[in-house]
Amino acid sequence: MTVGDMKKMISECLLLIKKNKVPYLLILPSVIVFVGIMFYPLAYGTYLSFFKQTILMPKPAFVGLSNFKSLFSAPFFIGSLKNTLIWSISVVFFTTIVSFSTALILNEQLIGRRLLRTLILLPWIVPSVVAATIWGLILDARYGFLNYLLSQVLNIKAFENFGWLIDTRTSLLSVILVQIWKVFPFFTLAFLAGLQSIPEELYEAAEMDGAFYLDKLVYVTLPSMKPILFTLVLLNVLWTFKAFDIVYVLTKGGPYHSSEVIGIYAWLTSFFYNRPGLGSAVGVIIFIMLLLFAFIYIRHFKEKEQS
Amino acid sequence: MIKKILFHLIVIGIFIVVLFPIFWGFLNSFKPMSEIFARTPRIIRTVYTLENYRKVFVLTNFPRYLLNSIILTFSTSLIVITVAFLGAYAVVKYNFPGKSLYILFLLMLQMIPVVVIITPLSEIIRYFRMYNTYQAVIMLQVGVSAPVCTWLMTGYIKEGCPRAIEEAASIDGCGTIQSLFKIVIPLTMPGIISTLIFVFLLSWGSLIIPLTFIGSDSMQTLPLAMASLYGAAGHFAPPWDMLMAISVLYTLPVLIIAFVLQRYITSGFLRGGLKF
Repeated sequence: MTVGDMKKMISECLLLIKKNKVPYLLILPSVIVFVGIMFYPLAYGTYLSFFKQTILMPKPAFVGLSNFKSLFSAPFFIGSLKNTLIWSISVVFFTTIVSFSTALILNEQLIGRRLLRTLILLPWIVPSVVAATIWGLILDARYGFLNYLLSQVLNIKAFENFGWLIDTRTSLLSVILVQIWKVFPFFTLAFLAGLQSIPEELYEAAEMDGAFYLDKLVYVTLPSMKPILFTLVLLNVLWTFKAFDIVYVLTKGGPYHSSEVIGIYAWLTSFFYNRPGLGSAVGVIIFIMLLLFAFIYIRHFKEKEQS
Repeated sequence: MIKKILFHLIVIGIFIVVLFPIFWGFLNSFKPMSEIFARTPRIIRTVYTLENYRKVFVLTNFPRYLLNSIILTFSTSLIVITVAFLGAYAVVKYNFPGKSLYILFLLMLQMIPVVVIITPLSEIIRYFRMYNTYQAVIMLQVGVSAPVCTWLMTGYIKEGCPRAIEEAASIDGCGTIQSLFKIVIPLTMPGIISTLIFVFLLSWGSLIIPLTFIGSDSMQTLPLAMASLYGAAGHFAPPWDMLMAISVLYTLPVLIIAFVLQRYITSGFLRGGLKF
């Protein structure tokens, strides 16, 4: 490459920019935001993950991949992966079932249907900290309504003063429950929108072939909803990885890390245990996991579609 | 016929269960601590009071927290909607080199959880000595919401403002900037409002960014103050009475917006946002 060639390239670039100056100007603010607050931190975070810093050390020291190695032999990290797996699968699975069922119900001819469709959104609209706080009271061992219901109304004495959020066996279950409660209305309305876009003719054709409710559901509704289901499940998985507020407020990772999902683990590592190098490493791992998941998921379904 | 009644009863049952926590939180905000601690929670034969609300204003820095939340949320929303609209407008109305890359980024950046970038961001913020400032929190909240909102806006602009209308306008002698304000914005206003609500709710409820970047009590936002109040109790019972009262006060603006502008929420971003 000669100097002349480079000059040509640069002047071509400048010409391109000049020709497109309006759109480039329009996207400039967002690009600045994206680069400054997302890309650069992502790169910097990866850089940081190769360093180790503790309170005893004056300056962070380069340790290469040692952070990653120590993570994979750290019991609480593996534990958080396990928790995250349980958390993600449970939340996505049960949210999908609950929201799809609710959408089916709300699609029927009901009295006050419009009111119900508005009311169903309440759990999702309520701020997550409020949702967590209220559920914290409901799940409280001594003063919670759930235990009152179970131990005094239903007379199951085992639940008298049972600490849902402070027992290692149920802390993860409890936060999963709250997360599902919070999130399902969004998916309900999304599924509902999808249900309403299924053309009537398909149902009529099925009825002429002698289909009952269950048949119509399986042979008309479900196949038509496949693309929406695909998108919503993907969205929900991404959201469960982002979820932080509810777990943080209710258990902060739970008694002895029992409800510590990976987001909480990463945050605590950086800001509570003061190991930013490790925390960045966990962040990198989360990011890679998400990319892999999205990649495999989309690939898998693209293939299915084509077959 | 019986089937229908049964069905409706089941539906009512489901709604009672789902909405119970909200009802419970609201109810308990008017109960004194003694009633919240009662062995059998009651709805009628119990004491109601406004004491909790008085306590919130007297014993906590609630007005300050509210002010912080308002300032941060409004600033974030305005900045994001501007950035998002401009970017989305460019995507919809223009073709430029790098456009597909930009769109790819819009999709990819939505996927990044805050927790992944929060550690490096913390180092950067501290380096610039911006810890515990409004600017830092606003910037970061903007950064986190911008990709999603820009993506939403592209959907809305595409939907609300077909090329034909703009072409007709330019034939009638309408300049680009004029057409922007007189045609594009009014036509996409529902979408703008939906996105504004979205980023408002996101920012109003945001916990992790204030949690990480605010260090003094007087700078706390409402969700952070609530989380602190809840968690500071340690092994003792949290101050449920005040927590419930703050919850109600904190949720009220959200409910008002949701109620008044509900059509922008239910029809709006669900449609626009799912158009992949």
